[in-house]
Amino acid sequence: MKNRIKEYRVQESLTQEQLSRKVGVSRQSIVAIESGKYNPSLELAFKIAREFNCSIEDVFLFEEGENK
Amino acid sequence: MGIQIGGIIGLYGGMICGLLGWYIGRVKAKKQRALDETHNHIWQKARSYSWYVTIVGNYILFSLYLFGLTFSVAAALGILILIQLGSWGIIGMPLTGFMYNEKEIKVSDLLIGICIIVISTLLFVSLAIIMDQWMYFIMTLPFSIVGYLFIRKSYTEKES
Repeated sequence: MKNRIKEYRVQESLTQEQLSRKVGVSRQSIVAIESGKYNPSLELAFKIAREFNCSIEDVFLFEEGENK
Repeated sequence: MGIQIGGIIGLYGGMICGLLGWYIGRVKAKKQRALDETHNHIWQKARSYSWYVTIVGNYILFSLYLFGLTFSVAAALGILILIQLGSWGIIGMPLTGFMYNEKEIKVSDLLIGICIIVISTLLFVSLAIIMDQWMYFIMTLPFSIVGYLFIRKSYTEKES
């Protein structure tokens, strides 16, 4: 799943560390999510989207047939 | 059969040291919010892989037994615990590195490195226990260094 976390994060002038503090995970987790190596849980995805004041679909982009 | 003082010290001392290390590690990690869902995901995945390695270990032990090599129940259980816990740790570390690294990793080198370490450790530790010759254990060192170099290479090559 692709995401636009980095884009939103830069827009909000947040560092990875600052975002990680806000959503309660390690900076490394933000690294893993931004690079697409890890898909966050629904709860964490909501937290991240909420930090950017937008919906989950704006931040995480689901593409049909990704897991096939 | 008399009480083996060395065995008792090794068994319970090892357990206490292991639990202490585990606890201190968790306290430190908690301060950095490192015990999050990514951490759980990595170590659950490592544990599931380690079960595959344990099954292979089981088959190797059964095969050795079928070929006439006998060893005590304690030795067999010791080998299986070592395989289970050892492979859990060995697999978890590169998974962590892969997940948290900000750059791409050359997967083939990473896999070669892990295979060298896992196979050599399994082989020589099993030999050491079965033959009751702890010198075999030292033989894992050069192979582990080679495996480590491959793992390192998989991370450094992409930077060039």
